Amino acid sequence: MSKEKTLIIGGGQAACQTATSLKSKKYDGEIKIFCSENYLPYQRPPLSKKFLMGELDKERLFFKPEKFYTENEISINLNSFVQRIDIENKEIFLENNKKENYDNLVIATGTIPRKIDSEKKISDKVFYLRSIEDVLNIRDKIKESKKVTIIGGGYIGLEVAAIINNLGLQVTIVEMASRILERVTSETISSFYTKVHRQAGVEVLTNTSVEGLSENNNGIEVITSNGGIVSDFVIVGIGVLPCDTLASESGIDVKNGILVDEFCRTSNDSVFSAGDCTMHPNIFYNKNIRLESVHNAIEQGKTVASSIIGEKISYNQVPWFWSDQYETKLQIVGLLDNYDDIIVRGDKEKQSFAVFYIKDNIIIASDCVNRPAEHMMSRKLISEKVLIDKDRLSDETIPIKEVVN
Amino acid sequence: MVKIIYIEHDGTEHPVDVDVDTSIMEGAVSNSIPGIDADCGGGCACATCMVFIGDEWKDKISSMSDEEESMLDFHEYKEDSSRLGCQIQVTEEFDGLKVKMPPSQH
Repeated sequence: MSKEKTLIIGGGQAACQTATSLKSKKYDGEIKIFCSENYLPYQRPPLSKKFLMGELDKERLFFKPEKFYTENEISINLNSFVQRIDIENKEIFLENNKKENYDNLVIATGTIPRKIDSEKKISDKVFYLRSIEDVLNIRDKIKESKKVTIIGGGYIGLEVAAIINNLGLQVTIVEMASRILERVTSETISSFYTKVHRQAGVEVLTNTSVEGLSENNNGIEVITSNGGIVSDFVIVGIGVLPCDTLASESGIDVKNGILVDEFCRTSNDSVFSAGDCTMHPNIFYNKNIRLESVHNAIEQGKTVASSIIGEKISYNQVPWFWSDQYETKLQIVGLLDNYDDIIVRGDKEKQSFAVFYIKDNIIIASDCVNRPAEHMMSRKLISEKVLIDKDRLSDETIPIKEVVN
Repeated sequence: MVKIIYIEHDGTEHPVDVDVDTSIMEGAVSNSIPGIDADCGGGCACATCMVFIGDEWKDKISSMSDEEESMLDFHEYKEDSSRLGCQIQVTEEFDGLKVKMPPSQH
């Protein structure tokens, strides 16, 4: 009997984790990974941080060196674009009509940046940030520029603004909403980061929508509801979309992401999915969510590997994230889902504080700025759904470890 | 390159060559040493690359930041000799260093 075969589509964190977890669980089938990029699977978080700064070689972004794949008999295929999936016959089709059959298929295709409509004809001055290649291009552009406009005040936009500002360029952030980070966090954190960026010299424009882009000899003009902004180039960070077309075209159920169950199985029994592209159930928030996060990619990769080898271990995680900007490390845990109270512990002026989001006297999320202990404690309190005393939580004379008896 | 010996909790030793100026965590991950997860990739954000380092190496290793200490404080298997592998840059002086791993990082 021939060996079982698992194919993995994607070259990111979830794809790599699935393969390495299969190996550490002694899976004895064949494993083949198909990456659309020309790089070994690599970490994306440093792209908008240290790698953009130029502090890391690209080789240090790779999860594993090439020899890992060879030694573990994982076939890694770069520059490989999967064209379609035939779920009836369990085959994937590559370019030039090449096809490959499977027993298990893992879709870990991640996301792509949301585009702005008017970018088509002026693409050499408009950048998105998703890949090593994107950052290398931005780094080249930074060297010949003095001024940049960043469209979008989300985490990517803000991290990029901090780095480029540190590199000496004049930075303007344009945000359509009434505050930066509106979609993901509270007013408290938004106003804190607005201040941090403004103090560093970044111009932060809110309630400002982009109406068009226009190229001229001086650079590129972003035409907004509040007038034009001319700069040398533009970086767009207005969110991402799940890469779920391959799945939906093959008949797999999608709804703002590839729908999976708690075992990361899609609507087709032989097809699994992991990472940013999945819409998955979360038991802590009792609903389906899609996450853009390393932690989720790792844990779902592990879940897929468990499912493939026949262990029934369900995904059961409180999400966490982080963001580095200037001298601040923001660590986030949980989702801001209908909280009824906010408790701030620490001092915003000193850039050292934690914001706890509370619902029915239970912490459901926290944002911790340079407060690793509060972050780690929150993870524990959220996952254990511990009832808290709000007065003790905000009282800095009580160490965070002793807030709950 | 220096030789670092990573020791799993069950005593299995992995002697490997690690580049100077990378971190103890990176040395483990790139050599596929089991027992170090390094979920955040070295950002001091997750505390999943904890190792134990003997007292005799203390003088040769950079001291711990408050941030690292706070993260470690919540690790289930924390001991006095605990460090986060991502926070220690490898130098020429590390040749022969032995680092031990906890039973689990989570």
